[in-house]
Amino acid sequence: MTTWLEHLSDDECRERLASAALGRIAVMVDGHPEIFPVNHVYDPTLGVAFPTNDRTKLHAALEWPWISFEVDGIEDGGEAGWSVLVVGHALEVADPAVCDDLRARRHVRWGAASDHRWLHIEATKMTGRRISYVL
Amino acid sequence: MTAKTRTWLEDLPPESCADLLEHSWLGRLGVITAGHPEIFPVNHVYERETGCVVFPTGAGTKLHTALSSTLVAFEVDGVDEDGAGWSVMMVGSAEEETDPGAIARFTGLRRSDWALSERSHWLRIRPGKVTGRRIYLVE
Repeated sequence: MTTWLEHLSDDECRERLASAALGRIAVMVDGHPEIFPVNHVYDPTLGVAFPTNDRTKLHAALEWPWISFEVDGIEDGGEAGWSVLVVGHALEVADPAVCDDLRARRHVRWGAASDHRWLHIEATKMTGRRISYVL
Repeated sequence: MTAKTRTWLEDLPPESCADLLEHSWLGRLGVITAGHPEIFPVNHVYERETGCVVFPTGAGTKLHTALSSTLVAFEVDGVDEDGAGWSVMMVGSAEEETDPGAIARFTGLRRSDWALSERSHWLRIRPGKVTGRRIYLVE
């Protein structure tokens, strides 16, 4: 059995970022990484945007200069896995109208009522991989 | 959604966190590389007796960064049939598992093979802190 590793193009990465309902951010908290799931929206202008009201997440994302965001999934009946990783700086979305627009475009809406602030990631790196195996 | 939508956030007890870690097979490792956090998906096995997560990896960034870090993060998440979302996060230390007997056992327990080939190292994450949450949507 051989594993086949494929790098996804930027367009493929963007498509997967846009269609995935659930992603995760990794932030630095007290000197170590922590991972939190987020209900993101992928916007062509803002990039990855996500709501948060959780103080740990919000402060960690804004205080440390780097944040990562990841989506992944399984396809081909479990015989292939893929992931897209975005690394960049977190910035707060200041315009309430933009926040309202983002809120309406989410795929999954739990976490909705308490999440009033939106962050987006100014990406410096985007990478995607697909791993499958061939017999 | 309407303005009346409310969510209910529940912290999960250790037993539920263990169940979720045991029953999921796709997790994510979080490490700090060159000052920024990175996330790598991994196919893990949960060792209930010790509370450790173990998974195979190649001899690349993931392995070296994890082993040189004081603390790493590991996360699993999902959506239940009723639409509730959940996640479990472990913060702990990474060490290499080298015992051939243990590796053979973990290899047999893994539920996916697509990331296994050509991966000769196994990482064990020893838990420090484990936290879990479930979020319900209440209309």
